[in-house]
Amino acid sequence: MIDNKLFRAIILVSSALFFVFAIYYFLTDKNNTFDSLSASIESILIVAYSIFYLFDQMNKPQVIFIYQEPNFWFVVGFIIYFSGTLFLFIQASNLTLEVRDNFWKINYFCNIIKNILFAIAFSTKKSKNLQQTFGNPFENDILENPYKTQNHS
Amino acid sequence: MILLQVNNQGSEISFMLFFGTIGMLVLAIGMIVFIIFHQRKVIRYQLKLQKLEYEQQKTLLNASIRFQEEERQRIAADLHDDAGPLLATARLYLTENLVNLDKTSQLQSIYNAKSIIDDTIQLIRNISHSLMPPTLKNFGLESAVNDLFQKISGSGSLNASCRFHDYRERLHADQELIIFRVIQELINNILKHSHSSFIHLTQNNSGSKLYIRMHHDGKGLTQSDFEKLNKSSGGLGLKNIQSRLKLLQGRIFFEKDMSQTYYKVTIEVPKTEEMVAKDERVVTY
Repeated sequence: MIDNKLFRAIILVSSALFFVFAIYYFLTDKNNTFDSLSASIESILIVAYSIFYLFDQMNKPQVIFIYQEPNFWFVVGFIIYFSGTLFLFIQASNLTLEVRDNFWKINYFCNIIKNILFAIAFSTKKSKNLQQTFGNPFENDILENPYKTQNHS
Repeated sequence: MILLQVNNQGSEISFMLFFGTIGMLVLAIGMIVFIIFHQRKVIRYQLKLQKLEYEQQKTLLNASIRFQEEERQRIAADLHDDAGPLLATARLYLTENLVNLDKTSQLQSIYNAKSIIDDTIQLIRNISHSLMPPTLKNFGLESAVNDLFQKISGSGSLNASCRFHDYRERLHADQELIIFRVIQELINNILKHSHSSFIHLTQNNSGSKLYIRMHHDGKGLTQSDFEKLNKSSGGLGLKNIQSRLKLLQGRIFFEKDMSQTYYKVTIEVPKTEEMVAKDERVVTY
């Protein structure tokens, strides 16, 4: 999906580090009801990965509109959801339960938008590369191939 | 509703949270919209380029097909108008009645027929040479161009000279033929349109490239004229030059000399042999 090798390496390494950190944080931190720090880092990482993806797509020489690809809509969903909830997750541990519940509507709202975008992604068919428009306009099997080996038993 | 709570509480955290979220969302959406529009613009541009290139190729192909047809018509006309009547006349001399004639008339008829057949042989030789000069195949581009220039000079109407500075190694036969055709076409154009008094051709090498430059003092073309003619429906010969050079991955440049008295045409051809071998199947001349 992402062709840039540097981006791939960064994604793999940072994901692995984050996984280790999240488990460590989950095991050691027992004060909070919400793991604010790991959720914020997760949001930042996923937004960064999504930007990597979009940047990579922009630099690809392919002739295809980006919004005709399902992957684009998944990435947009992730970007909207995680950038919308980033500040909420950062501040979650500083808010009282009552205020947090109030602000949690942001999370619900972003989640709904994300799911709508995912629905668009699932309903988008992967379109053909527009470059093929100038190729052979006929199907290859429109005429019978005279050299085809016939299997008469 | 959230805004109201922000006002009520007035807490810094809520304020930051609210505007931070709005800011992030605006940033994210802005970025996505930018990427979509940027990509659309790039793709439109690419598609336009592709279409232009496709059309250019189509005109070149059409030109080369038309050129081929015109060449065939010319050969057909040569054969029909020159060789046909000559042979018919020779046949008239050699009738069955010849045996009944006296010896002097017989000899006269045979002599006439023989000279007509000689003429026909010469004519056919000329046609075949103009189709494929034997010097080119046997002795190479340098000799063929020399021959061509000598013939032009010999006609007396203009002074043609050529000088090959560095042509010790012959190019691949196909490359030589294509370059020769391009030179022929350029000389045809000069003879037909430019009314010049001399043509001078020089050849040289630089790196892995072969350069051929022609000077003439008549009415010539500049690069912008060439490109204009190339895009128009006319200029069949020029299109043909272009498609031939494309096959060699060569380039051509038309310009006026600094002194504004001469016109220069420069041809640049890379000296690689594999390329021609690879493209051999495309050659349909």
